[in-house]
Amino acid sequence: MEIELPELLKNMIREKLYIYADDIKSIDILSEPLILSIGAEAYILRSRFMGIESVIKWRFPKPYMPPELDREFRSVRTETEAKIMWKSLLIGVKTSVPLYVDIDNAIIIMTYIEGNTLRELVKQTEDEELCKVCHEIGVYTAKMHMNGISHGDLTTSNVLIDSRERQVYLIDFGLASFGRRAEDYAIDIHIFFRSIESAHIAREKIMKECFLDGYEAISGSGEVSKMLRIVNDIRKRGRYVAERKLKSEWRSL
Amino acid sequence: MIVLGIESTAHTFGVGIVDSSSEKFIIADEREQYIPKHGGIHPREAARFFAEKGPIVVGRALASANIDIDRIDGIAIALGPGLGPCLRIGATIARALSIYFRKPLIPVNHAVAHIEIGLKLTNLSDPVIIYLSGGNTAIVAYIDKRYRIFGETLDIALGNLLDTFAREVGLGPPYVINGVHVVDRCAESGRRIVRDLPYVVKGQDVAFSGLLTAALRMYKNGVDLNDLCLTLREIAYNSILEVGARCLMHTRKSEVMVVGGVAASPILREKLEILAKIYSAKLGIVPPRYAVDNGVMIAWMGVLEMYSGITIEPERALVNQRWRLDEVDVIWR
Repeated sequence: MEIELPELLKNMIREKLYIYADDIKSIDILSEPLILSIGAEAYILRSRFMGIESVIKWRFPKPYMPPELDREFRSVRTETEAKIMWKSLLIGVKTSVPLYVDIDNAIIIMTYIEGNTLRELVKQTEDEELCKVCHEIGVYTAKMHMNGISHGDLTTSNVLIDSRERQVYLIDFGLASFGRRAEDYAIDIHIFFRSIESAHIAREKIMKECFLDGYEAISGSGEVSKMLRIVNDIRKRGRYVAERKLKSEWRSL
Repeated sequence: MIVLGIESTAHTFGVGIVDSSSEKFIIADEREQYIPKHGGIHPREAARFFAEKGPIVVGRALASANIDIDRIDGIAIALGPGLGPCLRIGATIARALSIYFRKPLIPVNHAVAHIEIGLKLTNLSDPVIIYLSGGNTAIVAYIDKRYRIFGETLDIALGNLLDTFAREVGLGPPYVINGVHVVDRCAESGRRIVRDLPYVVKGQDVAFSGLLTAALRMYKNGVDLNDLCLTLREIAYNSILEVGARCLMHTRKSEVMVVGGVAASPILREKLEILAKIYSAKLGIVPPRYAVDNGVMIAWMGVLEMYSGITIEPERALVNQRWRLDEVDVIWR
């Protein structure tokens, strides 16, 4: 896959940083990036930024949108994402650290976390360890919610376990937002549960229970039951869902 | 195999006859559309209209196919999802035909039928399906023997958003003139993007009711209608494209197909073509005549199901207004 990098990144690749100490050292500002993946709205690239292993998230222009709307979306989302990453780090939610943010170009350069996604690891993880991880995700989620942040895409693919210290990281705050609506918080829980149900149904019980334990440890039990009530409401809202079905003699075919 | 299919889920009473062994494939395609005098579809009024026209449309279909009903191998009926009173008229006619002429009755899910006729006509094999109509907005992908809903609207459908907006600001009905939606037409003279209209994408789902309310409020406050149409459309279409792109990346499929009434929109088509190019995916758009509700797709679904041995006893063939497309086991693929 070939992509045309924005001028900003091209320039950074050409530039060097000189450190004048006992001797003169030069470091590349940015090494030639490799494409890790292409998402719905951004390219994810792997690179070294001033000597630090990094990930570049570039929200590329969408030619099918009117340019002004496109620019606004990209810069607003980039700004919010960077702010939320900082805020999360401050309140004790582990995530990668933004090193460089350019709102006009919709670029965030952040530290690279060496590890695997929870989605990949669930199968081979023992119950006890899996519970610990989900407990930690519950703790992180409650901390974010207590601080007015909803993650917006809390799936097992967006949880990383780093390979050295087995620490739990939340990644991809691309759909995260600041707000005080309980509903947005419940949607985080709903999305997390749905990702468990769709990909790890055999471990459903332990993953959900440990997540809720972690959540409760931070938020208290009243908050948990309130959240679960809203989650149930949300589930009934999809179109034609079974729980809402009219009483009829229908039997599925 | 020759199957007669009946569609009566919303505003269209359609009867199609498909001959799977003939070159022509579609040997009859008759429809009558209920057009409300004002407002949206009134289910009871639509049902009354269907009850009047239904038998005539069935007769017309048989006449235009120029075959005797004896040669028909099965009667396919869309049992849901849809409006109850409308569904019941079609179901009653289908059950009567099945019993009287001793033909097997085949239960068809309307949404799955949209997908299958789309696959047949676009020659795609395993696309990400963008299903957009008056009552449905869903991003669907075939995974593990079912069409799975990857994302959908959490409140109103895209067609519903466009039609209701058009109605409230006096642009319609009719909502579609010469294949172009009145909101698209009104947007052509839009010059600038109105700020502060909500763009709601929640993970893989979209929501439009907030957008509708905000746009109507701005209209009442005197914001230029053309600009509003442009912004409303851009926000709505783009949120669907975003979810579609996410599904494409997630499922790693390399085709995109658009089905449903809104698939006819030339503007949306243009955007999808660009999107498909970015992700090097193949794009298939179902021809407008078969993207909207019709009897042919029900008949074609009937053929597929009959080959797999799916039929239903008439006394069990009840309508199901909330029959989700992801409840259907896809055993014919």
